[in-house]
Amino acid sequence: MKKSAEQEKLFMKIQRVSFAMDDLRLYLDTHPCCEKGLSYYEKLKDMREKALAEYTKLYGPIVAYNVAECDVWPWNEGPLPWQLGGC
Amino acid sequence: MWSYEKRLQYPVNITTCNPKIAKVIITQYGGPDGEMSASLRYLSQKFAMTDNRVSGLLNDIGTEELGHLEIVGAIVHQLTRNLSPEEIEKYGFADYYVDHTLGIWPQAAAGFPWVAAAIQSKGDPITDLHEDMAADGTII
Repeated sequence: MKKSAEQEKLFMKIQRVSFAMDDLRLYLDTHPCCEKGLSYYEKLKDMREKALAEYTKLYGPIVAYNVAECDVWPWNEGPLPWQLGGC
Repeated sequence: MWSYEKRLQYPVNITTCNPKIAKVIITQYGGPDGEMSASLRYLSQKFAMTDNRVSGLLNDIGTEELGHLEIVGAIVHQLTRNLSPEEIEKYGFADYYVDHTLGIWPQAAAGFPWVAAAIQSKGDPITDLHEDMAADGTII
């Protein structure tokens, strides 16, 4: 099933914020005292948590630990990330 | 321990199949300098790395490389979706198809399998970091 424009927008927000955090994490590994880096990580973390919670509530889980109570296990509902339209 | 996120680190949406290009790109999956080498290099070297910051960094880089491995696998998969027998023949994909059909197998562009001999894990911090720089100089 193709993502709606709203779903795609929220999904891309998670993608962008996570990408920034992935890069910043590597920097902080070797610059653990950088105040600017640490506060930027906090800012991104806040953005990601909000977007992830909203996405999970509306469209389903991105993290398996966050699967909501359900009658049918939704984790493998497609398309999966590596399939066309899934990422 | 890892936990999976149901998303690619960078999106892949390929609507036009091209098995000829897929056969070249697959080297970034399982070739000597591909993502499988990169991820296993970092994730293996972390154990003997003496400085905790660097050991943790190797773990975080290796983790990200696994994400890259998935991206490249998705690219090859989407480039080879729903091929007809005629297309397999026409685009020179028959030699891959005969062994793996449309499965993703870690091989170099020339067809040889991924081998651990392409990476090194020596247990000496300087030696391992030099190997990392030689293999993946843009990251470290």
